[in-house]
Amino acid sequence: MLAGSFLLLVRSPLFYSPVERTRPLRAALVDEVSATIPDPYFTANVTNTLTRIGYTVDYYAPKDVTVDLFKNLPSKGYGIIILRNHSTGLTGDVIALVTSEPFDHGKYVNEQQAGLVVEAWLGSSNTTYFSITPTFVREAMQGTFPNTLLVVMGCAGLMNSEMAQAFVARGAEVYVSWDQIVLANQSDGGAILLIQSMTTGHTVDDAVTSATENAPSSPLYSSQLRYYPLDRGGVVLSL
Amino acid sequence: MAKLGYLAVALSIFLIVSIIPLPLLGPIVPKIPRAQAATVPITLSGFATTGWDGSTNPNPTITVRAFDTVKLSLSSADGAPHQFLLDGNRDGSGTVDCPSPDPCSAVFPPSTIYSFSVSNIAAGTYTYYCTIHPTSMFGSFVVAPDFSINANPSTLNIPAGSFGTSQITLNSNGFSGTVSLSSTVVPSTPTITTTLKPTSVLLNPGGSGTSTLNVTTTSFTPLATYNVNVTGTSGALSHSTQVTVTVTSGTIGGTATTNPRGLTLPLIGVATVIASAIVLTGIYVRRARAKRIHKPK
Repeated sequence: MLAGSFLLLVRSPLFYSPVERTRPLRAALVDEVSATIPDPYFTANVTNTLTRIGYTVDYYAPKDVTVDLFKNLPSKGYGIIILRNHSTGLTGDVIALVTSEPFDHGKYVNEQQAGLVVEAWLGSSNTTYFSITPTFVREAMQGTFPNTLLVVMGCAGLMNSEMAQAFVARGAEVYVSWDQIVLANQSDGGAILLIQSMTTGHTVDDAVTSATENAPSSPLYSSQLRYYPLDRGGVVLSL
Repeated sequence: MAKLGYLAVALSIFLIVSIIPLPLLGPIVPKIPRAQAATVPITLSGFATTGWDGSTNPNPTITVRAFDTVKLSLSSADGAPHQFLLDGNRDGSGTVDCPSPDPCSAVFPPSTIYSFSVSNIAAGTYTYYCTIHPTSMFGSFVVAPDFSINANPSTLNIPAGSFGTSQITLNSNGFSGTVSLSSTVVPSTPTITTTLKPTSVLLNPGGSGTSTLNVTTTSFTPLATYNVNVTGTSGALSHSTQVTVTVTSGTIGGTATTNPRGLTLPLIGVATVIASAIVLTGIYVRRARAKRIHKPK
């Protein structure tokens, strides 16, 4: 009863008063997924929405999405980062964000041994790719995120809070992601709605709720968009 | 009395209207232009002496449009053998050119059904006849000018939010004029937009033209299969082709090797438990044996 009441209180919009922090008007759209599932509508829509409120948007095409990009991402000074990456949370082992860099046993050997990077398969393709783990975010990334709003669009990025905790410890203010398997169109639609909602002054909590309700539904999966930490639902973008 | 008068007038009007032939009352069903090259059913019965359908002078004139398919239902009305032939190259050479370029049926009686396409026959007037009774059984076969429309590819798989293209090709058979192009999506959805570039094509007789169909979806397009109907219209002529569009998506998930750290710790744990169990069992067995040995008799 107590726990339920607490949860209700925490989820209530009354619990939040909008929290406005300074963050750079720079956004990154890291689009590893477009190598297999392109969505130019999503790219154009998000870019236009952010540009309208004064953000400059850097687009990282699949070829640019490497381990090194992730290593240096915190120090690039982005206020918003949208990671349209496959993620491996659905296996239940570890949430890892997939890069476009083909896996090689002889590369990043120390990082492999330390569990910073792992090998990931995408569908039935024979090619495997380096993926970064929460340990990578905690130990290998350089610099800190400047109160960054992080949108992780892959499957089950918030299946547990391991990856989210790592990013928040690295300086991200809020980490938004899906709690289960998600289809690309569902995630794209959800992210579009999330960004549109936030750029019109809504809090993370409102935007996440609205995006989850109105994103394209999946006939197979009932994934929900969530955010972490729960006490940052009042975060808004400076307009 | 007045009421009876009105009733008589109403009854008269009803009787007059009911005896007027329906066509004089105007079309009941609106005329719909043929959407695609059609299959045209034609029935002919053979009379050796009086000609096709017994109408020697003249035999029936058959008119079809270029690209149509003709489905002939042929029968022998006089019991004599007959064979239908269309002189597609106008050389009068009989069955030598059968079945191409001269489409020809099997010899019948009692009856046969023969289908052939006129898409390879240039628009114009030809002669059809019975190869066994060519002097009495012959008539005119008119292939009217027309155009065809086709899409390549005719199926598109498009990830939601992305787009696909198909080339629309128009071919003329004797047709000359401008064909206007339009497209519709079925079932209708505001999340799919289609464009055609160019939106009209000028065709010369025997010529062809192309337009590019672009089908654009959004991230919100429901995952389903849609038909995009592309219609070319020129005056009373109208033909369509269809592009089947399947809007797809995929999971944004992958499979990773197990985190080495995550795997090592449980393995060490399991190994420790097993080793401890073995050691403890060994100690217990030894003590039990020792007790049995030192037990005073």
